[in-house]
Amino acid sequence: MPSVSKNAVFLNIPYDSNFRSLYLAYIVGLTHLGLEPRATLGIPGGSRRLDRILELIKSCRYSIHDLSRVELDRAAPRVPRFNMPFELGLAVTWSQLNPTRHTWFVCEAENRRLLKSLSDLNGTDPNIHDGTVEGVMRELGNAFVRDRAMPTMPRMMNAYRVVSRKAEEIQRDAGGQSLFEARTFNGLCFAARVAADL
Amino acid sequence: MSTSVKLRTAVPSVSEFGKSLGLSEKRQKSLISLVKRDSAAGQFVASRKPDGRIAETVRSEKVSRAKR
Repeated sequence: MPSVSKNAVFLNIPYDSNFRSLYLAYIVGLTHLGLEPRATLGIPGGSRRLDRILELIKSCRYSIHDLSRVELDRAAPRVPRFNMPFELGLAVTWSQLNPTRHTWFVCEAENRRLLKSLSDLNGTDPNIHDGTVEGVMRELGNAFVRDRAMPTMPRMMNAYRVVSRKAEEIQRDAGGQSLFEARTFNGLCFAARVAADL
Repeated sequence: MSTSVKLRTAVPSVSEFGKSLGLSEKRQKSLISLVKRDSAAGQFVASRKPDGRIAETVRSEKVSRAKR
């Protein structure tokens, strides 16, 4: 049985430039709460990719799945992005089999849309972030509660502004070509932790 | 699916967090400097007291040079 990182959160969200602000919001919000985001960025393709994704999910105490952008790809062939719902399914199954080892959350931008797109989850409550940075921060604060040292919204937003302003510089520091690479992701997470203390 | 979980683990320190991400000390220092370096207002909050009040600020080098 793999060991579980008690602060680790598997982050299953879109990794593209249109999702930049919410991507950074998730990173900043989770680190501000004292949690450690983990992503599939950097896991290579091939026959072992699924094994590595599953190992990553198993090693995380929590997972967050943002299904607000499960849509047709803009480039041909125009196929829907199935990876995110698939990875949610992996996390749900792992949690069902090991309820004390993993807890998952689903996020959406629009209220009640999940009732139609993923009716298997009817009866459970997704976290609705309205597609905004403040909404993501709010829902992360609703999902993960601390008795002490609970960050305030103004401080989280201040950290977000710092990280957002510095994001491309952090990318260059990592030698990355986009914000959605493993080394840049780790740099952003660390920068968000530093910004949380500002 | 849980609607809310209570976190009981400690918030990791910056260096602990950097270590868990696999960042070298050199890269951690570089990123800390990058995040804290220069702001439009000329200051960054360097640290806060437990009650949230600002304990220490860091002045922007650019502002300092302009004022000389």
